[in-house]
Amino acid sequence: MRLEQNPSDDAGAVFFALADPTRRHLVQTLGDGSSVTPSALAANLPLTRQALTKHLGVLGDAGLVTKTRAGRETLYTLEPEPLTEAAAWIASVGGAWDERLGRLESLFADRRG
Amino acid sequence: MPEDRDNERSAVTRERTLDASPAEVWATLTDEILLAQWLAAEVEFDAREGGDAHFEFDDGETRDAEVDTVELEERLAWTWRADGEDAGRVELRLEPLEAGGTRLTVIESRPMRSSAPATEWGPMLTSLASMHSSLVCA
Repeated sequence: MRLEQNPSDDAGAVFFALADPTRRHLVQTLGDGSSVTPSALAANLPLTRQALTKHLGVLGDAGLVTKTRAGRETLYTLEPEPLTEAAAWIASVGGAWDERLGRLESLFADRRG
Repeated sequence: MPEDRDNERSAVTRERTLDASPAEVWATLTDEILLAQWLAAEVEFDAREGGDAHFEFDDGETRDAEVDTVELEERLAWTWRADGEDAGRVELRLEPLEAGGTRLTVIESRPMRSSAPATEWGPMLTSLASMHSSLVCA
């Protein structure tokens, strides 16, 4: 469990993680909240085990998946918080500019009287 | 480990068509008193390359900035940072429109680690938004 999460610091790692279609597919596969083994994740993907491990590593670096052990199996689970934070950054910055530009437009509109 | 590329950034873009000439718009981007009417509550702004700027917002947040690009009536850019946060770069572009008026484009970006070109972020951000909605509704 990650402690302090700063939206601006994590957004970059999340954007990078989700820039790859295979990783987006993995995130969506995990999206129902279940914990899944690598074999199950690789089932419908033309991926070597090594490539899958690499992709899961990138997702782990972004805090998007955590892994646990159940007996001899490794299970991966989606952690949606970084997605929320990246989306929050986009929304926050976009929203701030919408407000500012609205005021800017008003300056010119007011001038016409 | 992913390659660290500071020249790749995630960005938010906004455009507006303003009923004013590029010169008039430029004034609202570079004059401290005008900036304080729309961008922030209080502004100090040295509109020269390498100039310092300081912004105070309505919610009390303050940011310090350094202006890196000043191309008269065309492009203005600075990097700003609030205490304890990552820096963001703001770029403002002005284009005169044939029918009159000025198109203003604002891009605010942050550095990120990536091997994908910046132009590919559009579809990814759309996926991100839809994925986020489906997760929070679950």
